[in-house]
Amino acid sequence: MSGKKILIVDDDQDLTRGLKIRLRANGYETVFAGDGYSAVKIAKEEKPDLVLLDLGLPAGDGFIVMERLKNLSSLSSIPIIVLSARDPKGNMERAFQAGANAFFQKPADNEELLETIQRFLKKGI
Amino acid sequence: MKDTPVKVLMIEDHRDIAFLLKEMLTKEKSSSFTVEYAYSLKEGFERLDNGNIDVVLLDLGLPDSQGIGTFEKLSEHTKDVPIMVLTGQEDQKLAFQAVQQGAQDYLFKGEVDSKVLVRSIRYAIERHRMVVELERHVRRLKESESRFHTMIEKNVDGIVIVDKQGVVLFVNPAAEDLLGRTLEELIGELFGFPLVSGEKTELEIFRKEGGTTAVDMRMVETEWEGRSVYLASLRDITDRKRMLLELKQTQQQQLELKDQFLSNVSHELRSPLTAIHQFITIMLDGLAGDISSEQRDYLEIVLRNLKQLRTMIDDLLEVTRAETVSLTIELRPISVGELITETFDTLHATASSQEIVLSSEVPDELSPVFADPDRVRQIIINLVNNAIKFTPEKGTITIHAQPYEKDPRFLCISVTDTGCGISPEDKERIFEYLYQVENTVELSRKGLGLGLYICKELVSHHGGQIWVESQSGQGSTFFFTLPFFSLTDLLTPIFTPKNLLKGSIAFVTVEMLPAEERFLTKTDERALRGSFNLLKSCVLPDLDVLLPRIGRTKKGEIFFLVASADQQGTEVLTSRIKEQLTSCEEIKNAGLDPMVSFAMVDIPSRVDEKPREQLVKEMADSIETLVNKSLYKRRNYK
Repeated sequence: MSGKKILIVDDDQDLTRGLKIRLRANGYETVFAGDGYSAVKIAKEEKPDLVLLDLGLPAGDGFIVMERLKNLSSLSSIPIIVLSARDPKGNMERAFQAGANAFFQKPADNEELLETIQRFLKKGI
Repeated sequence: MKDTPVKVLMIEDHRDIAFLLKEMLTKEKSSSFTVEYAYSLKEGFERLDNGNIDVVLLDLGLPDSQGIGTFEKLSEHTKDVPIMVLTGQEDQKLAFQAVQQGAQDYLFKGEVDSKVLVRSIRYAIERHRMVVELERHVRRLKESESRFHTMIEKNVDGIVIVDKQGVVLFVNPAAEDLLGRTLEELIGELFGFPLVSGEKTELEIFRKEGGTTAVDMRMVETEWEGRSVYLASLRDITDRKRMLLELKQTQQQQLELKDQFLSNVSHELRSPLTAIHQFITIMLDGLAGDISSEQRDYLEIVLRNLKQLRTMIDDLLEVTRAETVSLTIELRPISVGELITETFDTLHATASSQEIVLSSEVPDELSPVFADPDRVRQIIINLVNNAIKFTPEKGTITIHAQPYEKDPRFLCISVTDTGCGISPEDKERIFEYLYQVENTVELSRKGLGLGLYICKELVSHHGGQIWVESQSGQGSTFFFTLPFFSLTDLLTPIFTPKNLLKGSIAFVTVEMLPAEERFLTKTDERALRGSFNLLKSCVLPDLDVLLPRIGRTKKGEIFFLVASADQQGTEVLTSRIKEQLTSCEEIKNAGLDPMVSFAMVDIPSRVDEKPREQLVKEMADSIETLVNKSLYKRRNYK
């Protein structure tokens, strides 16, 4: 497929590994960050086309990561999909306010997630 | 008296007189006397000290004491025995004096005959007995009065005596404290609180130093110093109330803590579940190499169980929501027949693995119900899964749907199984929170005791009822009701005579279609849900009604609003809606293009002459025509 680059931010290594397999099988390149601080750092270095972001993270949670990314002009337009085990109630709205483009509760439906990723990448906000 | 002789002590130094008197007494037949003598006061004392004397005949002139002093000394010494004084005729004054000081009677020596003597003695004894009795009564009365006073004075409850006109007659110290005023300040004043006998009232008393005292007041009618009065008893309940409030707050905190805990638990459980789900689907999708059909079978079993686990976790979260009343349901007209067919697809795998036959009996022409399809699906899946759990292999489970006999405004849906049935005790409690049926040893899975509780919550949020009929060993049937959809019911609140008389009703349509023609994606559906919520926030209660989501197709959705507004008002409303929808990120991201338009609706003339029900029905019909026209128009257009 496109060879677009997706940054996966999650502190659960099993999850990131699973996502990597799933995304690579669909033709995406993947990079990882296991905490909020390195998420921003790696985003700067790697310039991903999309970010899959967990909310509960060490060293700066998902909301802080979104705030940082939205404040960096070079990164502010990268679409962000929040992928969290948290209750959508409350968190979803907050995530959208912080700049998320979509919210999925774990475990997410693979098809739906891939469809959303594809659409955002095609549109290239 | 005849049986027990009267014991007379005669204190008399003149033996002849003494003897004479004794003669008189013993001669008397009507009663018997025994007579003893003492010849001096000292001797008299000694004899009296031995006790057992009923009456004393006392000569005032004795060798060791003369005059009134003799009586005084004796009465001082012996309080309990009546004394009769013997004097000579010349000492009349002395005799009176003695009687004044408590002697029972006096006799003049030499003027006494036996009859007079006997009678005098009898009277003396009787009189004395009465005096003693009276004294005892008075003493008791005094004691009881002082006890009563102590009770009132020392009572921790405030006591106020108020006459029938509401004027304060008495307050005890506790009442002085409670009312913050003294007895002197209060007496003669109006009490100022309602006087209702037998009732308990709660009062708030403003304290001089600020703040209030909460007081429980009870009133009874009683007698007080010969008058009919009210006795108000006041109890300070400020502390008790404060403690109750604190207790309530603590309970609330604990409830919140529990909700927080359950929310955290479900969050924590979800992470490992996600990893399991991910890798199983990776294997099933062949992303880790080919798998045999046997391996596929097994993985599908894992996946199915995983879904069940996920449902349980969702249930946990659902329950915390139900308790904090944040459970959301989105009502719309839905076809229960379609919904049942849909859920059967989901349930079939589980049922067929146990060789259970699932069937449904739903009439073709069933009016739509007004419900949240996701929630109804949840209820049906819950009930059927439950039935599967308790039904042995080769059993059957049947779903019926038909108008509810007892209330035709509702549809009654039932799930009947051929399982083990439910005992009467369980039947009572089966919908309770965390209730689990006992003796389910043969079952490998007990569940959390939340499924039916959630069903009950969901059904009651729809305004329906849920119940079960069953006999042990003969299967069970779970019933629940859902209201039929009625546009008329929905519109009734805004079609008030007042609104209709104003003569302006607008029909607003909001079309949400993708900018370029395509099928709706799941993201679109999220955005559409969001749009509906946005529209809800634009609606004014009593004036506007946002119709439920009835205009969805595979390519887009139309929302409908009925507003009691004139042309100008509707323009304001539509521009606000347009603004809200176009500025929404979610809608923008999904690529949906909102189009808002409106038409004014004709109101039948002579509104005030028609019965309201008929009017509302007519209006609802014309709205329905408009809805159908819009839906038809768009289908043609596309």
